[in-house]
Formats: sequence, structure tokens, C-alpha cells
Amino acid sequence: MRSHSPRAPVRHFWERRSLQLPAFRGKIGEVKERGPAEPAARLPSGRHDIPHDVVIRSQRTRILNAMAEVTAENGYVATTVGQVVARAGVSSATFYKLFHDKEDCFLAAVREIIARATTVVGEAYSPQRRRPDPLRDVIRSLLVLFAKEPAYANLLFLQCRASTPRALDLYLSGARAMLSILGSGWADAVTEVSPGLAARAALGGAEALVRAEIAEGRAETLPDLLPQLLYCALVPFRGIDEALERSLEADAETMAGG
Amino acid sequence: MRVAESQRERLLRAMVREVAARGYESVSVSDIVNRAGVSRGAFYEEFAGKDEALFEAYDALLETLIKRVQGSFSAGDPWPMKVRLALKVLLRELAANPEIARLATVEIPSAGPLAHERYRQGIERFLPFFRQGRDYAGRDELPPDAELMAVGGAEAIVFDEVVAGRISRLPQLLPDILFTLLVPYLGPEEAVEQMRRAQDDVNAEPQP
Repeated sequence: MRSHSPRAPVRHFWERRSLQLPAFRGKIGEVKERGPAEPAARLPSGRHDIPHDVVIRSQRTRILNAMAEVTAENGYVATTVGQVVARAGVSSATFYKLFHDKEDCFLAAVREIIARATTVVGEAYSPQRRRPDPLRDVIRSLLVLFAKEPAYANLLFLQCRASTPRALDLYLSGARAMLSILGSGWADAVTEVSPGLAARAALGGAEALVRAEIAEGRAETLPDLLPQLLYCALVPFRGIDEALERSLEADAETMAGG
Repeated sequence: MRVAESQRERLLRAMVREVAARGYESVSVSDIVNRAGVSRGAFYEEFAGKDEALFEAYDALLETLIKRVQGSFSAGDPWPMKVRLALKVLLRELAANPEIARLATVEIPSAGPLAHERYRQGIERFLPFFRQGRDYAGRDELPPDAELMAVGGAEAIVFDEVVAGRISRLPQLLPDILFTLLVPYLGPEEAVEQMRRAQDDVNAEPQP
């Protein structure tokens, strides 16, 4: 039953990843990202004309960013509200005006990164912007997002499973949302496998690669995983040859700075 | 010496049960010593603290699981069959020991950064069994992390099932998990072929 096509020439594009990195990262830097998780500069204190809701939003963002950073460093369990407010440069009173407790704030930070990831996925699959390979674009955009926000990437991929049942629920619902969107890209699947489980497994395999990079402190180079993640997402549905071909294309495009 | 050993084992067993019942966070050393029927002093003679006991319990059960897998891999069968046999043994083992399944898949990764790191290293110990898949497939241009894709995909399915409280159903997922483990190396057509054989295995088993 073995029916592989004649061997393709061996192209070890995987091995070049660290060599080509600086050029690739230059391109990443140009990608425009929006959203409240942008680094929030401190607003002037004391009397000023800044509208009240702007002040609140800035404080909230600073606290969420601080929560992501502190949990990435210490883990959720060892993180205290005191550390978070110190990092955010706000008072405890401000913290408790915006959040009930540590978990409430942590969950808000998780929702924040899930919302941003969902936006990125939605844009790639938007019917107004037909793209030749939305799956590739969506994986690339997500990796760029997580590379730009290493603390939030850590929060999502490592801390969610290591904190509270509610965070785990959020994480799992985020994964389900991701699957329902990505499912449209897998609609023309070629297998008779239970597609739900095959898709869940493809996402799980991709997560494992991302998690390993983050755990080893290499969140900044996550975009280098694009060819491998594309392979992982395609191989169950499109077969080895197409998966390899499209990941080679993605790699070539990356090298060319596309 | 024998007494000391059995005390240690009793404590580890108690640890696994308490953690599976209530989650690592809410388990205290008192809960463990009460369940084991030993003194608090005896616990601290054996372990520096709760974390150390958890890690030891995890290491011990990981060792058992790896040995089971190695057993299936020692025969001269073709690689996909080895994977199928090993997976069958593993899923059956987890289904028969729900407390161990919970500790190994949900509690360890959620017990803090050190435990999560331990868990990741534990998962990595299963990767070498898959490197043989490259030789079997005869394709050396496969991605460098194909092993982690395969194992990570299977882990995600098992994790979801355990969280959803369907540990006893794991052996029935043999075909789907097998597909996940083989597909990065063999592609979907051949992985589906192997899946059908696994389905025959499942059909031959008495339903729980």
C-alpha cells in the first residue's frame, strides 16, 4: 500500500532558519498591529485634560501587560497582585477598581490575547480579501503576533494550562473557535478520518511546536516555524507531497522577504 | 529498609489519588499523610515537599508507561504496527488507571512552571519511537519536528478527553490517535489504511 511519489531532491530548508533570521525579522517589524495590548505609555499624573475613559483604558492595558509579564516570569501560582501593580505602576486601589482579584485580571489578559488572535484569523479569512493561501497567511500572522507579544504568548500557551480551571476553559474555547474558523480551510479535505479529531490533532501538533519554542525562550523567532506548521496543518488533509510543496513555497517566500 | 520503601510507595500512591480527586493546588501534605496513614514527619523524611513528591510520582508512572511502549517496540514488526501496538497498550493502561491518567496529562502540566517543564520533557521521551518513522517512510525531507507534531497532536486529543472526564473512552479512540501519530510520516492514505486495522482491534475488544 505504499504509494509515495519518486523522491524529491532533499532540500534542507529547515536548517537555514537561524541564518536567515535578521532579514525575515525586518519584514515582521513592518507589519502593523493594532489593539489595546500595545505597549501603554504612562499618562501624566495629576491635573490634566485627558478624558476619564482614556485614563481607565490605559491603566487597564498597563495592568494586563504587567500580568502577562509577571506570570511569564514566575508562573501564575507564584504571581501576586502586588507584583502586578508594581510592574504596571498603578495603585492597588486602581487594580481592585478594575478587577475582582488576581484570577479575574489573569482571565482578562487571556481574553485579550485570544481576541487579538481571533481578529488576525478573521482578517485572513475575510471574504472581502480573497487570498491565494489564507491558511499560510493566518499561520504567519499568528506567529508574528505571538513573536511581538512574547509575554502574552507565554500566558496563552503555557500559563493557561498551568493556572485555573476557568483559564483552561477559556483556552479550550479559544482552540475550538480557532478550529471552527480554520475548518473552512480544511473543507476540501481528502481523508475519511473523523475531521473534527484530525483538525484538533493538527492544531495540537502545531501548539506543541509553538509551546516548545516559547518554553525555551525563543518566542521572538516563532515566525520561523511557518513552514513546519503549514506542513502540520496540511498533511492530514492534503497529503505529504502537497504539504511539503506548500511549506517549501512558504519558506522560499520568507527568504525572498515576502 | 523494606519498611521505608513501602512507606514511600504508600505516600506516592496517596499523592496520586488525592491529586486526581481534588487537583494538585488544593491538596496539602496533611491530606497526603492522612490518606497514606503515616505521620507528617515520615513524609518529610522521604520528600522535601509536595512538589518533590509530585515529581517523583510522575517520574515513576512515566517510567512504567515508557517501559510498556518499549515492550511493543522490541518486536521486529513494521513500524506502523509497532506504533499501533504501543498505543493500544498505552490507552488501555490510562483507561484502567484514571487517577494516573489525570496526573500524567492534566495535573502535571498545571502544577506550575517547574512541573510543566517536567511534563514537556516527559512528552519528549516518546519522540525517539517516532524517529524510526522517517526510515520507514524513506523520506528524509520531512520537517525536523515531525515527531513533536505527531506526539503533540495525540496529546491534545488525550488531554481533551481527560479534561472532559472521558478517560474510559480512550481505547476507542485508538484509530483516530493512530492516524495522528502516523500521518506526518505516511500521509493520509496509508494512515487511514492503518486506522482501519486499528478499528478492527477496537471492534474485537469488549465494549466498556
